[in-house]
Amino acid sequence: MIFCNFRFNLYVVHTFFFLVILWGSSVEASTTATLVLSQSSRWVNMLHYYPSDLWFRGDSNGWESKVIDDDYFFSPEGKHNREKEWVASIEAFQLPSSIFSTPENPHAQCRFPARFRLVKTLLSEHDISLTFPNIACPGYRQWREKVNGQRATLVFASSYLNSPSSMFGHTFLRFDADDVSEQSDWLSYALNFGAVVEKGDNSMLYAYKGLVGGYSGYFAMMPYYEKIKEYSKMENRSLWEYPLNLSPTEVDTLLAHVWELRDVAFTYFFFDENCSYRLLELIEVAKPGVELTAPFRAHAIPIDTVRKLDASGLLSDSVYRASASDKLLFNAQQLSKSEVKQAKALAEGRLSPEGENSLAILNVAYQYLQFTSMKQQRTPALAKRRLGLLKAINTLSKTKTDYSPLKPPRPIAPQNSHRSQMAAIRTGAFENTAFVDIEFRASYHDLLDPTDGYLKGGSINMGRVVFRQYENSALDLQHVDIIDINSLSPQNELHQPTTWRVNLGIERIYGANDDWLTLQLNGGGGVSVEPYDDVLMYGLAEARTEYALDGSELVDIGMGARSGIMAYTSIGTASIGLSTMAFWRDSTRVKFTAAQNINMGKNSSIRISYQYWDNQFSEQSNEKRSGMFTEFRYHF
Amino acid sequence: MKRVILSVVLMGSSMTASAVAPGGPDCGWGNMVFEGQGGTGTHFVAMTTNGTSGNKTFGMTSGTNGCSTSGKLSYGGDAMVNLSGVLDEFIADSARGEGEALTAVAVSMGIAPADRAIFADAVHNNFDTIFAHADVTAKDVMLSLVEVMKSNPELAKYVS
Repeated sequence: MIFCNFRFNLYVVHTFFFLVILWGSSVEASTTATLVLSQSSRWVNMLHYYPSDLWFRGDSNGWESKVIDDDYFFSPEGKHNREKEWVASIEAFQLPSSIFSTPENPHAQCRFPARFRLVKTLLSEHDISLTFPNIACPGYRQWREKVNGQRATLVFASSYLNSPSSMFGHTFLRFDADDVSEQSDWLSYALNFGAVVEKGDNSMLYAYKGLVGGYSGYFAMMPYYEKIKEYSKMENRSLWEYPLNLSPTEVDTLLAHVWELRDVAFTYFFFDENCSYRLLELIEVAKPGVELTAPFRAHAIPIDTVRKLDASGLLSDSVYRASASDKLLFNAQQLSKSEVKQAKALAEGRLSPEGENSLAILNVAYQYLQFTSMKQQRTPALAKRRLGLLKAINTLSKTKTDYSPLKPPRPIAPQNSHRSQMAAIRTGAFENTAFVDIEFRASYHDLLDPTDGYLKGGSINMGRVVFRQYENSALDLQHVDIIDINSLSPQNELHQPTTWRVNLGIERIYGANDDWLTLQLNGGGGVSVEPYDDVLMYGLAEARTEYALDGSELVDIGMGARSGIMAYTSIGTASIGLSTMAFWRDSTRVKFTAAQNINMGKNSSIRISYQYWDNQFSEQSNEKRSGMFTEFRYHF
Repeated sequence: MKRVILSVVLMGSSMTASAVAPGGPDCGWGNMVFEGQGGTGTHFVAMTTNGTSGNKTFGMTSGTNGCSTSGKLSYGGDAMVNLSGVLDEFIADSARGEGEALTAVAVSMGIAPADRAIFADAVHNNFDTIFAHADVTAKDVMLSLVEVMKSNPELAKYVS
């Protein structure tokens, strides 16, 4: 209700003081300048205006702010009218101090310090002198001192193999004091943009609303250690911290703008108007003249926004903060098999920590217990066991002073991974008929693509389309992946994640006399293991349902299995795979594939693959097909 | 409605001290060590939102979310640092006498860089006193910590 009152009061006061202030000052003289200034990119950025015809509207003169709340605008038409908002903002900034300045109803200068600063700057750049009252803003000052930031850092939360939600990454900002290296960045403030979820929405609704825009997004600030706990511990995601090349003045502008955005609702879309996009907007406000958001109007994958900032020279060398699970697995790797078993027994309470003489084992035991009990409710027994391990660590560490838990080595930084979109051209022979494929993939990474900066065994592909042209034939649709996710997450003594995959798309099926396209959904679950370094073996049970698109409208369902081996070599990733499936309509399909990816730098590769199909439709018709393909793939 | 309530809190930047409990209600002073995170949202929820559901603040408070800085518990006349947000990390670091949570607590208590190693040693050596049993709360830990510091010639100045 506060905000409603706030706005109401402003309008009343506007009307009342309209003549006194507006005509009494020199605003009238600057009406031509108003047009120019209110169209400047800095004003447009500050108010988050966009041409509203971008997707839907034919009106090419229309503008619209991405801010939903009316409170953000002083003019009733401010959401769509840059000029009127400019004039109304100046009016509000000129109001005498006596009208406002209670904490609940702050003066416009205090509510919008960055906007006020920009107005003054733009006016003075155009030699327009307006007088504004001197307003003290204790509320803002107090907050600004608390968020003691002279430097800004971009933090990228990378993906975790078994969590599809994390696969696109996430970004947020952190504000550090000048002397943060002597202090603690745990106590720095983090700024996050995210949708605010109503309690009671179920998870399908979350996904749906996130995609179509049913949520509003808000900025929120919290101590950085809250984010460390959220990502490193709860979600097993590593954090990459990139100091931003912003001057203290620019950071101050950024924070002043952040203050304006507290509790202000933005439109939120998972793909484009997301966490990463909004952060780019903030940086544009802080650093006039830098253009960051333009490439991301359609979709903003967080890592692509990191790349853009990197290419714009805004990022310094990153700091890598390994996730809790990475720390556990790396420390466990240094132990022998029997030592790992011992650590597990200690964590599970089957072995008493008293008398244990190895800090490395106790450390892994504690990390493992923390990892496994993270999402459990506290029990007295569990708490006792954890304290028991820590007491043993405490006692032993007083005499053995040379041990510290090991830090996992720093992997390839995520911005140095291959780019998100991909186009490929493929040639080959299918049953002795030559063909050419053209492939496009909107995002992101498949199991054979160069793994630098990605997780081995994880892939997520969306919007992949393949067109094929055989010699003497027309170009035809060959394959569509609407979504294709693989999570081949190896199991070991301490961690037993499920391997799973899901695929929705259109596939070509080879029958006795012809072939046809079918819309299909398939997926399954199973187990992966890593018998040797850089070798992954997997096996899954699968189910599939499909709907023929050849006019027959045949529906079929099948059950089957899939297995394979992946080898990660210095040349590139190699794989062999076998899948078999028995269908309700008495057919069986077997598919064998072998492929070798040859990495040629970060964004290019050559892939050679062999595929063999054996489709049995009845006892009489057994269709065998094979093909050998070579393709050039380019990530852009 | 939640947003409106938060707005009131944010706008009313001069926090009125809560008489209910040190740090205010829901501040976590009663949190026991190893509280865990039971019942936190799933990965799927985070998928389309990246939201921190219902836990929005704007850095108006010190320590953790929702805690007032003007509780009755204090050391040296200053408002007490809130440990409850990093209690699990702090206990693990204390056992080893090193780590980022230990540093964070030292910094938030105003301990000068030169004295932080002394602080780390004091915590390391008095682990059994500070974390006397598995059900200690953030408040217990804080009070024991202050006692340990008081009995240390270099650290007493921070809590006297």
